[in-house]
Amino acid sequence: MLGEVILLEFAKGVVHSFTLLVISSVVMIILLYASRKGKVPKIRKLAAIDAIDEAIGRATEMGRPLHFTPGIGDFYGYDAPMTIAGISVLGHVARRVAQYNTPLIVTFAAPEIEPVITDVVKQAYLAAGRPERFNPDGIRFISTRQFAYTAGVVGILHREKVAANLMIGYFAGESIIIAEAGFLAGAIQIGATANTYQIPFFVVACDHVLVSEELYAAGAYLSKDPVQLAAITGQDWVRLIVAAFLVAGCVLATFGISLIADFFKM
Amino acid sequence: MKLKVPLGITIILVLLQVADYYFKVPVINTAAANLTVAILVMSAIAVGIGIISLTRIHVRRIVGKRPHSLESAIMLITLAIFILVGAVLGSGDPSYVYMFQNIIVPLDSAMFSLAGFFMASAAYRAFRARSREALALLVAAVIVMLGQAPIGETFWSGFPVLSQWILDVPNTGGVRALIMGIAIGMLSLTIRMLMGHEKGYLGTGA
Repeated sequence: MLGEVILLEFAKGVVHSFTLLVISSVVMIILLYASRKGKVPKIRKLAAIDAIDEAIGRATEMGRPLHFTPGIGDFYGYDAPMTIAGISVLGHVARRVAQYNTPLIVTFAAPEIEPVITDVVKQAYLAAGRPERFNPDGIRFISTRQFAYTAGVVGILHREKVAANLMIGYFAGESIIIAEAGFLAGAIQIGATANTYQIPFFVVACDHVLVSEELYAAGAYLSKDPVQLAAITGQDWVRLIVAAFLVAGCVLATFGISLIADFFKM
Repeated sequence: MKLKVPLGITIILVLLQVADYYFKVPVINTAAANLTVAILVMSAIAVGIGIISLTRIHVRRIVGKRPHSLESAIMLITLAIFILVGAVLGSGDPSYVYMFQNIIVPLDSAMFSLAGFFMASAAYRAFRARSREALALLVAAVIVMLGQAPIGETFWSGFPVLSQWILDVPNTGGVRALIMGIAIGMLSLTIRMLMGHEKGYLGTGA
């Protein structure tokens, strides 16, 4: 293998996607480095994220548990970023409940995320200076089967009378069942997923919803880290670039010029 | 060190998967394919970890004589029966298939069927026209429902056309905007992870 020259040959139909990836990455990296020099970006408030503290407060006042689920996702495939984003929010939630001594129940359907979830929660209790309050029985793998998991969560919501139900991660057909069970249990509910088929269910059933890319911004928003916030501003710049491509493509196509349309077929 | 090692592994593996998607380089493509096999093996091991965790929680509940110990006992007995039958006779054995078809499948279906009722109750709450947005939601939903149901066409032949227009134009436009936002958000998360700024998933308390 040594001495062999590796020529990079593009896979079919990915040149446009790679170009956009490079442009987006460059924009975000520039903003990240700018933020390191003290330029802290301002981003709009996310009501659903701000409501997390309200949910924790409610559970604390009522002396009832807070339930958190990152959904049925795992660490590979389409659902991985949603699971990771959910776990990032869990770290913040766990730190807060540790401070207030609010019981925390975390449920999930993928056993491979259990060690990560346990570690994130344990570290959060440690960071809050309350490691003795960590309860490993609160971290519950239910089942790899979607509806067995759903049944387990519905049971927990009712039996343990949760005061707050946070569903932040990857959800599929179980979203409406869990959200309605949470409503019937009288819990304040926050839902967040990037699965476009499930967003409407959360919108109708939850008190607060993080829509679309807000899920991915949640971890950065909660961290208050200027570098991470810069990435969120980068998202908006990339969105503007994509919108510019769309408008330019429409205008050019109207005049019979297929330059941009051809680029997106490359 | 505790943070740098997992972060380093994450960066290498993410770059490998990205390179596999974009480039036709045999070394990279083979490494990525092998990685997929490794992930499958790890998932199988993780199921064992999950079973241990599940058993630990329910055994503690029974030993501590806490509420709902009976349900925990039923769960553990069912788990043991399924594991024994599956391990001894195999998951293709008629006994295992019988248990699966007559316990798991009906329970799954029963649970999923609840979604229909919950959709109706959630829709009822959402469609109460308490704001302009809720009113728009209500009007659009009624038109789409009438357009999709046969009775709508008997009322007015324009319902199916209007319903399809709502689905094809405003709905598709909105969903595409959501999908673009999601893709950009995913990219932003990946870049934060690659640069070591997103550490919430590594147990640093976000």
